[in-house]
Amino acid sequence: MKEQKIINNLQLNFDKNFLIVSVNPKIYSLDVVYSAAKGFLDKAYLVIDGDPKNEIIVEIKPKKKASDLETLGRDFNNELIRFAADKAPQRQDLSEKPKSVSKQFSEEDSEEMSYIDDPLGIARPWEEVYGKGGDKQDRQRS
Amino acid sequence: MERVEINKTDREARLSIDTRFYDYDSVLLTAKAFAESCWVYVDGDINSKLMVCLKPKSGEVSLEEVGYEFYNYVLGLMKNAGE
Repeated sequence: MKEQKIINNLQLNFDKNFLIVSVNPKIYSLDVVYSAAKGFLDKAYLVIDGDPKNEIIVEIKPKKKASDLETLGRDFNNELIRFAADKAPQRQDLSEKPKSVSKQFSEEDSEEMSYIDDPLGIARPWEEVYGKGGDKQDRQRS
Repeated sequence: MERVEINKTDREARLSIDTRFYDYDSVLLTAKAFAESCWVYVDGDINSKLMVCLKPKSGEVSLEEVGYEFYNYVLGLMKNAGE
């Protein structure tokens, strides 16, 4: 088995049973890193190092030797995403699982209404607007 | 360049998202939504191109489909896009 493996921003050291996560601080602020790290304190030892402006290094050493390092690292990345996204403006309720947007559009477009159906309720009888026996131009001339 | 690059070894889909067209916050919110069913990694330059890696937690999903669904989801979130 390989002693080390690199996957994206994860450097896995199987021999010494720890991993290093390289974090881009322009995407994930230090606050986000702290929040993510706190969720792992019960199952791993974490050390934060590096350069807060260029590259934040998080060393994660699981407390249990049999832990899956890759899964641990990927779970940490997911936590970074979660806390970073929480800082983004909320645009809509994301409680539903992702589904095809194209399917949503096709369902909404299935009932098209024309002006005759008067969907906004703004239609008024001709007589109400222009009176009996006249059109708008006649009334303006008089 | 493929819109969705597939890494068969690691079973990942990789996307390069241009932030001139796709809003950064929407990308993050989408990543959060996808984090339920995938392991997600976002990196790159928020003023230029973001790299998004998606690894489904389940092995029965098409990587290409996951990638394209991500693009669609971001577009769906983007406020005022096309309105």
